[in-house]
Amino acid sequence: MTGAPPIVTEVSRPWWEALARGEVCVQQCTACDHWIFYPRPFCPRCGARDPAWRTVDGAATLYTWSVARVPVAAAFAHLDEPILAVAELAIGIRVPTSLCDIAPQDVRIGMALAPVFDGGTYPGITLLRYRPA
Amino acid sequence: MTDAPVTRDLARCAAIVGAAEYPARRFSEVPAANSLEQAADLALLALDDAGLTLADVDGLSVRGIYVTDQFLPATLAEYLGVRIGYGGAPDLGGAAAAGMVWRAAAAIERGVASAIVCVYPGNYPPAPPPGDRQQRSFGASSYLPGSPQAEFEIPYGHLGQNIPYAFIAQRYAHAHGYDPEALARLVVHQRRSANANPHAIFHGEPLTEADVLASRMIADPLRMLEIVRPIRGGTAVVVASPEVARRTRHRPVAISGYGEGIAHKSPQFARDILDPPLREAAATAFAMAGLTPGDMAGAQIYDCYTIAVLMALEAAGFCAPGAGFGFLRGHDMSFAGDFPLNTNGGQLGYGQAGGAGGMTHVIEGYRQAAGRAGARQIAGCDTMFVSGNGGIMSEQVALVLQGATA
Repeated sequence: MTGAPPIVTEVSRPWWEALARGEVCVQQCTACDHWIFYPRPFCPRCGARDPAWRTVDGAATLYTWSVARVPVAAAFAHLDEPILAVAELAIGIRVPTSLCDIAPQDVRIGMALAPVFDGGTYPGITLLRYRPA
Repeated sequence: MTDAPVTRDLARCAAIVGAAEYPARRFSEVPAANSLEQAADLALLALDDAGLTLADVDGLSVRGIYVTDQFLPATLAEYLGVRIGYGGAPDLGGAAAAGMVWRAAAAIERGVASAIVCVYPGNYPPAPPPGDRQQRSFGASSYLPGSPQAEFEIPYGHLGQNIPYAFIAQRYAHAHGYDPEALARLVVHQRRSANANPHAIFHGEPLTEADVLASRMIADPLRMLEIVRPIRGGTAVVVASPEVARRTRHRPVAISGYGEGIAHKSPQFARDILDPPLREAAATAFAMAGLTPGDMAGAQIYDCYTIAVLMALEAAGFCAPGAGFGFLRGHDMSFAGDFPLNTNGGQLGYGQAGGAGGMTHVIEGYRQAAGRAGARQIAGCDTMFVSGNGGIMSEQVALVLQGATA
């Protein structure tokens, strides 16, 4: 087994189902409007229960990044110096991700990123990756 | 600077009264020990150092015992043959050692115990047997069902410590600029201190800034010589009440102030990746001690990575946020310098014996303030700042130590 697929929970299932459709859906608190990521059954700002799922623009800016010049674990040794990153969506949430279609010397914090719905890494799962916009 | 006395009478404060620390050893030099036997050996050595015996012990704080996942204090109490009034096993990663010390001090100050041995053997967890569910745990990164890491970080390859510390360093560079030479200077100054410490793993191996800057890139912008070397070791300290401290062998070192902060598990989800919780922890510790960063004769700052030291110096108030590089360039940080920092070599020079790495900072702070640091002793040292750092600047502890009034 290469990599390590996400262990999906009941609460987070709408996130993964949306990615499979080519959409980004994020929870929003119905009491205080706070955007919530990762998914939870409550709002970590005000404690209100049962946040709503909303479809949002998946475009993002690069918050931070690095390159794994040595494999992060044996299960990921097949990746050749992956660019690992955190992307920030316009609604303010930050998502762990990895970049494609770019070389390390061209990466800049703050650069505009477009979502890549990657269904090829793990069977039955679509990852949210990013490339330069 | 404040007008507060730099030494501390023992009327109110618990004190560190003794310590034990194995010399750093390479994995090839010594086999892995039975961690329970090692914990007992370290406890006995630390008690002997203080001039105390098992009969004095009424508290234990312990981690790094791998013969069991739980009941750590009870397991060690039974093994040592003591009946105790305090048992701790704080779950704070690299901040656990400093976390043990302040919890012990607080317990003693409330009268529930009078002599607590804080033990951290220096082994790494043994490899799990094939097929064990922990086989897929990726070390400190949880891959168990329901873990946010397992769902949102690990599938992308966000694993281990190098990458998330690099995330912080890149964001710091974006906010304040980046000065690799200043970080290399820190490594070299700590190596100079390691060369005055025969127990350090890199004793006898001088280093230049060019060596650091030419070392292999591990996770941009972090290079190999900015990252700790794992070793075998082992540590313990004895924390005692004023009454017990007065009948020990060496100058007691009062735990004058302490504080703790926990901000997140993964910096990917930190509210502000450049605002480590040491800020609140250090503010609490300095306020409790009635002292300021300017009163400190030196500092022992948890140094798993150079970037962690830079940001800790800012968070603890030794310099302003964003001014860390100028601070590193403006001071001699070796044991003989104007801002002695990690005077035993730090973990970058001494090595990191798993979670015991955090205790090496506590022990060096104790030794300096007790006047027991030998060839690397800071002249007239009465005060010392110590920090612990767990996870990815996730959980941090600050201690202010003061040598007791003669």
